Amino acid sequence: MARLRSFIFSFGVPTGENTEDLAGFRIFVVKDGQEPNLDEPTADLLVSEAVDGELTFDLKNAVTESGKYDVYVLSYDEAGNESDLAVLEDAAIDFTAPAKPVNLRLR
Amino acid sequence: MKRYGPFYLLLFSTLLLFSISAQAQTNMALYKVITVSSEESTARAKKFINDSDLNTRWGSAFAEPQWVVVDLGSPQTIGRVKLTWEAAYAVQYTVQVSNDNTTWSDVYTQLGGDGGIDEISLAATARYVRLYFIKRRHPYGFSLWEFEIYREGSVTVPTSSATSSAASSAVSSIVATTTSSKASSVTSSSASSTLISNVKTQILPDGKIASYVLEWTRPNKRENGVELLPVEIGGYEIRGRNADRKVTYETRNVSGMATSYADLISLTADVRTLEIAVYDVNGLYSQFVPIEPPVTAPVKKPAMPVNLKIIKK
Repeated sequence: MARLRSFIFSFGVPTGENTEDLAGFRIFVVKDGQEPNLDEPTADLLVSEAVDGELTFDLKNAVTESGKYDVYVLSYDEAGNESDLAVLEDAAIDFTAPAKPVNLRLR
Repeated sequence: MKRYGPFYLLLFSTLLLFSISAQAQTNMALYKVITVSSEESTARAKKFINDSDLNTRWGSAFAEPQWVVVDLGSPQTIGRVKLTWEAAYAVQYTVQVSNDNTTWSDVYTQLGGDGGIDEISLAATARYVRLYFIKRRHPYGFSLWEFEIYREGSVTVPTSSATSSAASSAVSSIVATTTSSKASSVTSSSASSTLISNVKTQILPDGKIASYVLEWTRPNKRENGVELLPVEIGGYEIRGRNADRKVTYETRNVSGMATSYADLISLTADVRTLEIAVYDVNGLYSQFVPIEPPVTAPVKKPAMPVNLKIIKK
């Protein structure tokens, strides 16, 4: 099973129109080519957790297999309305683990 | 044939009464097979719903709707259910029953839940009991310390309150054509009195799921003015018609104890009017009365998150 050491990304709390009753954000980490299941977010962050208008999230526990992944974030308000999905990178992020060490021997 | 003296008869009847009383107090859901729509984590697993331990709880994923199903093993008489909520309670939920874990009947709907403990009187017989959580209080999900099911009902049904969101349509009324006796034939269709009043519909402002909420006042008399007891009401049937007056919406049967119904996903875009009728325990139907089309609340999408960027690899 692959393991990710650390991979932190950030996003900003939107301001302006349609932001007055924002409640939080949902993060979706999905394999490249898959649609995110909006009923099963990878993580749910409250807007109250933002520091200086920004939130961060470490993907290290969200990626358990080598491969390419897309990362999406949406915001939701108190009534449960959800925004469109914002994507972290245009292309899928490659989390392919390095090969195992070889030729282990004792001297 | 052996005969038993008065002492043994008294002892036997006392033991029988004790047995019946003990059965009435037994939580039928305790340690039964549970299935859930999701689990927040292993520390909030489904096994904690019916372990009789108020220090452990189940928690769902942070999304709605969610559900919990208890398999009682065989059809059981259900008189009462008890929900002990954690802070992440459901504001709106229904209690449903089934004998095949596929076709469900609503037996109770709550539209204005406030958490704490909900003790709900029911009159149902079923093998499976489902709690269907529609709207949560907090963004965290739904969480229960305990879910209990009892054979005997002994508490007052908590009143369900209307939702506070969205616009509501006008009130409509329903007239029944049943007779005062237990005859199986339907009487003349001419109606002379209002039996179910205060029927309201609302559309919840959820952009993702089309939903509506129906509320009504339980009727208390028949068309001829004779009293109609709650136990005589078999249930209600709700259906939707399209613009050509054809029934397009799969009908819903709601138990006689209900005074409201929330439907999440079955309201199709083609439905123009909803209709509701009441039927008694003999199956005699009232006329279906149309309800004004529900008003769709404008969906307001919040703004998207901004400036997504990788900080550290």
